Amino acid sequence: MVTLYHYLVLSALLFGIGLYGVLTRRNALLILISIELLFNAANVNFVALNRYLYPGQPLGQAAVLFVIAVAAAEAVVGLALVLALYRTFRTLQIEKIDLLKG
Amino acid sequence: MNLLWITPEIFLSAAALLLFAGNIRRRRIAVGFTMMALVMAGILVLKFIYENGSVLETAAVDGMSAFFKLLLLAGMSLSLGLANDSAEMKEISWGTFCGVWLLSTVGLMMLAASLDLILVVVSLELIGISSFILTGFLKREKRSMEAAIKIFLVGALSSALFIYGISLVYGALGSTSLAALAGFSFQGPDRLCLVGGLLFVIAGLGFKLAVVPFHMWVPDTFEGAPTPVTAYLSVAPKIAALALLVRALPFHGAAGLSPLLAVLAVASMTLGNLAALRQTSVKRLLAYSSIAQMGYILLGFVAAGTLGLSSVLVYSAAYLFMNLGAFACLIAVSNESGSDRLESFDGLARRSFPLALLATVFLLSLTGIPPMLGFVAKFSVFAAAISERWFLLSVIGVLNSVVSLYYYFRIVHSMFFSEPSSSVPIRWSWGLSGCLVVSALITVLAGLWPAGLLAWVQQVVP
Repeated sequence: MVTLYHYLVLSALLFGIGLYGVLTRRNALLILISIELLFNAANVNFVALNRYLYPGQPLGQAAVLFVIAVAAAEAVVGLALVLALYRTFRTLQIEKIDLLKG
Repeated sequence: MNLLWITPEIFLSAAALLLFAGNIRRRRIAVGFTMMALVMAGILVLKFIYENGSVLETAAVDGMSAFFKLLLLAGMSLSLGLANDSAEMKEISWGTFCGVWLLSTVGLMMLAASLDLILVVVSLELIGISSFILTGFLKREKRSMEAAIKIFLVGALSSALFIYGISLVYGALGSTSLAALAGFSFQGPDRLCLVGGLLFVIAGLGFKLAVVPFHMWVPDTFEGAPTPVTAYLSVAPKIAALALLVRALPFHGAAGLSPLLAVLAVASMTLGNLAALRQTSVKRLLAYSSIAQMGYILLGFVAAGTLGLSSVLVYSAAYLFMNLGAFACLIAVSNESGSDRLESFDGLARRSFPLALLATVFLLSLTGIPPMLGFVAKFSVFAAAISERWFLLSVIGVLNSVVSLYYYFRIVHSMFFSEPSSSVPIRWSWGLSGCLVVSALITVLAGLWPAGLLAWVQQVVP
């Protein structure tokens, strides 16, 4: 029997993996992928909480649609930036991109 | 409910789409059109200034949203004037730039009016995505690209944290409206879920507000971005996020969060000011100073209550004009010298006395010295904190202002008492001088006669 807690644990795991990836990866593209995991953790939360705690209410599912659209827009701009970054710096390793220092 | 109330936003979005579709390359046409659109939107906001209600329970139309919308529109049009005259922004596609500029204005206005967390997410993303694009607009410049990837990674992470927090808040409340959040009693088994969610929400907003410890992206991004975009980033998203906080932190709810906000405020003020002391680039100095200024504003939230929240409104207005003015001076100077180092301000008084005088006005105001508007703002923030018995916090705030005097006056000193490195007089064109004159007039006049501003704020604060 799959309960709400299983879903919440799944989403917490996704969140943990994503956050770990953002903090440890050094490649801009892999950081972008980790951020997508974070967005999806929130989506699992929304759907599961909607289904188990507030059945019949459309709000959680609507929120997921908004989050998916927003994440897609962000991924588009992010990939464009990563591409432009590669063209100017010839690398995606963010520790090598360090002109600005104070 | 009245859909007519969001005509300013609809109008601006339509203007932005027109700019994208027109693919305009001429600066004069694109900037002129955008200015007109911003002014028109301002008139439309004025038209609904006495209304009181909401559109679909999602976007508020009331005195406070009108206050913030007018402030943001003023900020966006003044900083567009800076973009128009900046030497950095020559070879760009102006239609696209102005279109993204207008879309970001729509996001800012919606965020300042939102009553529902889903609208908050959408408008935060609109602001975030357009600020990534604007930061990386000079795509042949390495500095601009580096700044863009830094603001992008941090901005995307912050919105992911924010959305995860909202999903938890939704689980606890069964609703995403701010009213439900305000009515929550913080008792019972759902408390943990809600508090956890709110912590993520605060972390996500902290990145937008750039308060310590969520500030590490600010100096690099602010230094690398084109200077007019830095001016925009340093005021507009922060003021919209402050508007959201004023609406979202209800009086009793804020009481539980006050110690946390107090820690953030002290950390921002102190670290921002101490790091600003040893900067040699004026752009980077202003980046750290903006971190410190956010710390002062957070004092108003710590105090909460009508007094605290109205001090936040006063401070937002003051910060917008004095910070934009300071950036306008920086752009006027770096247009000639091509650098944002402190040395390029040397002997400015002998090259252009009016510019040096205006720069002094803005720096005095940022320090919080009477009779400038910055003094009124700081005074009302500290008064609110003292009236809620946050004595130690106010003392730390005042000490921090004294520290900030040192680095602001290093610029004043080099303007008036150093030998100029070149004798080329400084030219001002209309966008720059418009921004300088308007900001200076408001900083000085509202500082001398603050009664009007204070009365307006008293009227609109919830």
